[in-house]
Amino acid sequence: MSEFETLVRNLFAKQDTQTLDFKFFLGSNRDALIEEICGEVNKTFAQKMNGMLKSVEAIDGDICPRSVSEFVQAL
Amino acid sequence: MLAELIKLTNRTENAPILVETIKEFILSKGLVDSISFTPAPIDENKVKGFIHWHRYKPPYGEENTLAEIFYAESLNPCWKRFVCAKELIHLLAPNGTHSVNDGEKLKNLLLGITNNFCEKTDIGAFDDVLAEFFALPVLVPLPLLELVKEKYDDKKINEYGIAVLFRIPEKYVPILLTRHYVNLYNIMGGFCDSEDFKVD
Repeated sequence: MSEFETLVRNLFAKQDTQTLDFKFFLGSNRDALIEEICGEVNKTFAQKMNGMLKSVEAIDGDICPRSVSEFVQAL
Repeated sequence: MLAELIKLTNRTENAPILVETIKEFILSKGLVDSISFTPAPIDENKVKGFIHWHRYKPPYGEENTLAEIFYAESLNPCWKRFVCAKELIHLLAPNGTHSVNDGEKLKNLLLGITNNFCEKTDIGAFDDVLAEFFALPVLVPLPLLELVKEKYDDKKINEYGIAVLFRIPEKYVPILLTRHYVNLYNIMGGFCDSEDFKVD
């Protein structure tokens, strides 16, 4: 287990649940330090515990899909 | 199961593919009891989002399996969708697994794609980049992309227009326009046997 994985597992272990898995989306953030990433996770969990975060019903519920055939015909 | 989802979105005639569709598919398979999306003041320059898959037993209730996705609230709508889609797909392929038999060929194919991609975008670590590509075949069905590519070749639509149509980050569009994507799509969707293509 990598140092990063160990640090994150320890972070998640503080939660009142049994962690099955976790994944991160780093994207192009290759320069982020392990401590910085863990700091973001820690901050997020702290805000969740304090009731400062609110889940959304759907991530893209306001988008109305449209016919691609009709779209390209109009181009 | 990822191939099944790709086959499902392959049949649609509309774009974009909603993240809600992916969520409903995962819930219908009983992989988790609930899925939540939570915007948070995460520094997107350090991490764009993360998924925490866990079990929880309330004091007087039954045990539940939850998938909580947290994403940087500062991301634009396309990035939010992509981050959440990618994290959801981890539930379908938790160890980067897929349905094809010849994993080595797929790995080589993906390596080819990501190498091209990395050169263009200066992205590093292969494994992390790899995971991002599992979301593309779900969000961008090949039959719809083929329709759009004709117009792209005729210069009737540009890369930004394609990104807007499929509501994905523009930086992934160059990948969609390569022949590698066709191979990736067909293999991951189980539309062809791994012997049907040749890795360069």
